[in-house]
Amino acid sequence: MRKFVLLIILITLQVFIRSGYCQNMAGRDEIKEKVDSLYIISNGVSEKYRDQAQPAESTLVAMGEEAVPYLMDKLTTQDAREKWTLIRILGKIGKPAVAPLIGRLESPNKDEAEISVRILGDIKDTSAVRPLIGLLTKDNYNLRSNVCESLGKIGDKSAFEDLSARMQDSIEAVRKSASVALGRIKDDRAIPYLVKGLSDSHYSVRMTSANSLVELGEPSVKPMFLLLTSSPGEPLYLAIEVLGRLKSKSAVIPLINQLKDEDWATRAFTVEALKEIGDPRGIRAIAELKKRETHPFVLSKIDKAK
Amino acid sequence: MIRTLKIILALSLLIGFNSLSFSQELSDTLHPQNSQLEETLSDALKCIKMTPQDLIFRNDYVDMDSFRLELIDGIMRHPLDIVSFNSNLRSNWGKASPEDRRYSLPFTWAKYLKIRGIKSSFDESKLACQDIDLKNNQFTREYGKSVKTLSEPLRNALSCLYIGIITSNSKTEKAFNGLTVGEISCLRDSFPIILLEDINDEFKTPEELDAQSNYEEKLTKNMIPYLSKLDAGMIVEGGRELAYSTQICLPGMLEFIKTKPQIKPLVKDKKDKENDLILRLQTSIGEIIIGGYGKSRYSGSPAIIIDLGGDDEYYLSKNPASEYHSSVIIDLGGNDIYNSASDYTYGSGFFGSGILIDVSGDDTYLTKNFSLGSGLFGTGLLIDEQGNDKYFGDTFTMGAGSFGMGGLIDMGGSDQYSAALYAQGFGFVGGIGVLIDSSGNDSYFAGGKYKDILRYKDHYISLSQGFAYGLRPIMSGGIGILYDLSGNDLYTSDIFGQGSSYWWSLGTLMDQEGNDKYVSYQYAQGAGTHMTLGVLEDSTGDDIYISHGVSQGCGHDLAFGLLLDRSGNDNYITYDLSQGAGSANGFGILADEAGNDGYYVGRDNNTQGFGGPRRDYGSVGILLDISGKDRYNGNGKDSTWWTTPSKWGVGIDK
Repeated sequence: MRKFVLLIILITLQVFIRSGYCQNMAGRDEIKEKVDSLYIISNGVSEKYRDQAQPAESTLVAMGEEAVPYLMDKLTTQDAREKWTLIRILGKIGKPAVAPLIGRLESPNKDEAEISVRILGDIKDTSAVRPLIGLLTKDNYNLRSNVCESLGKIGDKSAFEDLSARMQDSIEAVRKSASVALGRIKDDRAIPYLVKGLSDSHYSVRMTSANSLVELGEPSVKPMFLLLTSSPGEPLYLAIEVLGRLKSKSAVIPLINQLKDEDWATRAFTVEALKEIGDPRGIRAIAELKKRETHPFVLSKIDKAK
Repeated sequence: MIRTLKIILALSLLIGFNSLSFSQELSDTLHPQNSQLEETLSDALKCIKMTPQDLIFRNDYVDMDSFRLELIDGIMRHPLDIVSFNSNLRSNWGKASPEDRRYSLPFTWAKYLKIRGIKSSFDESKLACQDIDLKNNQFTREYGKSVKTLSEPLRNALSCLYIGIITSNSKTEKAFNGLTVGEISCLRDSFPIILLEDINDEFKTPEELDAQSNYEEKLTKNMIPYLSKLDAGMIVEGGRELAYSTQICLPGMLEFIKTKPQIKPLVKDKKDKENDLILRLQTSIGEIIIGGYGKSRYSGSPAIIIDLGGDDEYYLSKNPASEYHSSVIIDLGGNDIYNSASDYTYGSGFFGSGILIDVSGDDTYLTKNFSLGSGLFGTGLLIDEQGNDKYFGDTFTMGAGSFGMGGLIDMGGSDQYSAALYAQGFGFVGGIGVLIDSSGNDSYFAGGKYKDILRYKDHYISLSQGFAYGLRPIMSGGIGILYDLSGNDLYTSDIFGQGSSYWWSLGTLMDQEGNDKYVSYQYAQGAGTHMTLGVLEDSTGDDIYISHGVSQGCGHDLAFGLLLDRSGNDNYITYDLSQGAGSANGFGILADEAGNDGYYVGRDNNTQGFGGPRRDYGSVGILLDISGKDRYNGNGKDSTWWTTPSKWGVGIDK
């Protein structure tokens, strides 16, 4: 009899446990189904359903941590549209996605690793900095480039050494992302690297180095004066641009001297920079130049309203 | 006589092939040959702190798949080479003999099908069927008795074509030697699925569309290992063999029908007699039919049709056989109607080669999918020599190629081309599609059937008219060429077309002469979308370009788009992201070298020299007008240099 009672108790217990388990499983299936359905709609596969995409995306963001495991399963997608959807959703979900994303950084699947890096950059959680730095020596240059970009977005200065080292990377996309990141983390030690970046063989690195020098502000001015003595070419043009964008009053006289240059592009970019600074001395010098200038590009810069 | 002719033709082919080597083309000048254009471009780049050396892309933004064409890899690294590529194509055509233009030039362009990861043993110097013994060959031995009462030129023609088909089939079979029967069967059944669209897509739910997309992706991925084992060059060689056989037998037949000699019909069936047939012969390669001078009617799927003249009616269907098979139709005259009972008809190569030669008359082609110079795992060639013709097709038609080559060459008359999708010089993965129209005022229309449900309620996908396409992100695309030599032409497409491409491909539309009108909605008129190359080049005439956006010299996402108009008083009308526009690190250039032109835009903040930022750096958009008195609304102005607030956008009007 006791054995029978014990058996009944055991069976009842098992039924309870199983039903709980099943409920749990059913619940999980339900969430997965919901996430999958919302995800398909949020990808905007058709113009007809485009108006449903944003609400579906917002619902997934609102689900937060609950949706994360199911969204993680989708990180291997090769579809560009789906990648953007995941970047937006997980980026907005934020903190709950950080640990799972860090767990995907060493994924043998390139797409999964690359997108995880990008999303971590958008979330801007500093716990990702060390794991991200660990990827900077990987063979995959897209991964290295994404890591630089994300480190820049996170903005943690502890990444400076590793980022500045990437300014020597053999691939321009990595150098470009490193120069952007160096501007974002706002560490003056980056200036020599960025000045060198103005002479890079790829225009993306030159452009972003100039932007980052502007980001770093006043400390960038002095190195630009040195470049003003260089012969016409992209580094000189970008140095003039940087001085203008920094609105450096101390640059006015050196820039006015550039208006005498034989190279029409040097004169044109100098006009632009002096207008940007707005100092009366520069404006007068531009008015003087207008009397003798003949090149259409310089004239267009003179006549263009600031 | 025929033997001597053969030798002369073979020699001319060899000389032609050798003079058009791939390496020569790439070693030619890398930049626009016009120094004034080159100089102005250099000045424009200086205005945005760049140099011509900056106009480069990488070939490894994504993992290189097995199907990347070496040519596209090369031009992506130096996008301005696309101008030299076009120039070489035109020069090849200009220098070629009349015969070569029809029968060998399209095949020499198959040398561009050097595919990175797969075998391509295209041999420019050899033709296996060069030495056909017309007296003693497989055809005369097996079927000589059945045709002994036919005149010699007809018997010789049948021998040539029969041997040509056998050689062509054998080469095509060789191209698939590395694949199992099951793998070949999978390609045969599944590959067309990824090309065919469904008009009912617009009524499907997101879940259904997603499931369909996943299914097609899986299907495609499954085929990649099989596709990697085939030999695309050998497929085209098969077509070249059959083209050669056709070429050598044609002069004899034309000579023969000059005097319209009486021919006693060899058919006994009453219906065959009613249908004006002279011969119907069952052979190992399929049915051979000769039609008379009257109104002949053809049906079924014969391997060879020779029609001696008259206004004929064709109602042909796909060869149901699963093995490699090829077909030839030679129609020597009359205003004919070619009607399709199924897909894969009229110059359609599908696991084989298909050739149709129509010598004269105003013809009407009413076809379905994979037709009119379509090569899918095969070679398709349609040559229409004369007449004002009307071409109608659905998908993958009028010079379309994938893992093979498709060519439509129309040598005369004012023609009308109408298709729905992937047509009129379309290159898909591992393929080259060419449409060449030699003269006449022609009309090209593509679209109107399959809605662009991803983007619009009321626009249709075209992907045609010098367009090439790859499957993002797993398969690089091919080469699409539309070349119209003269006449006042009208080009109409909707979404994707007119010298454009998508995903590691090259699409080019060249129009040599005439006052032409180009109308499209989006991704057109010299546009590259996603790591790819597109160019529209119009040499002379007063032209009109009308589009809505992402067009008229636009590069989007590390892609290059060029609209180059060499002369004439032209008008450019668009709404946005056009007329020298770069987005997402693309390069877009509109260059007009001469004439008094007009440039009109709907939005001035992303046109006429627009280069917006993406990935933290610039895209590049350039508008160049080298001479003439020009009118603008938007950023441009006559005799002015300008940059735009987009920062990497510039224009020069001289």
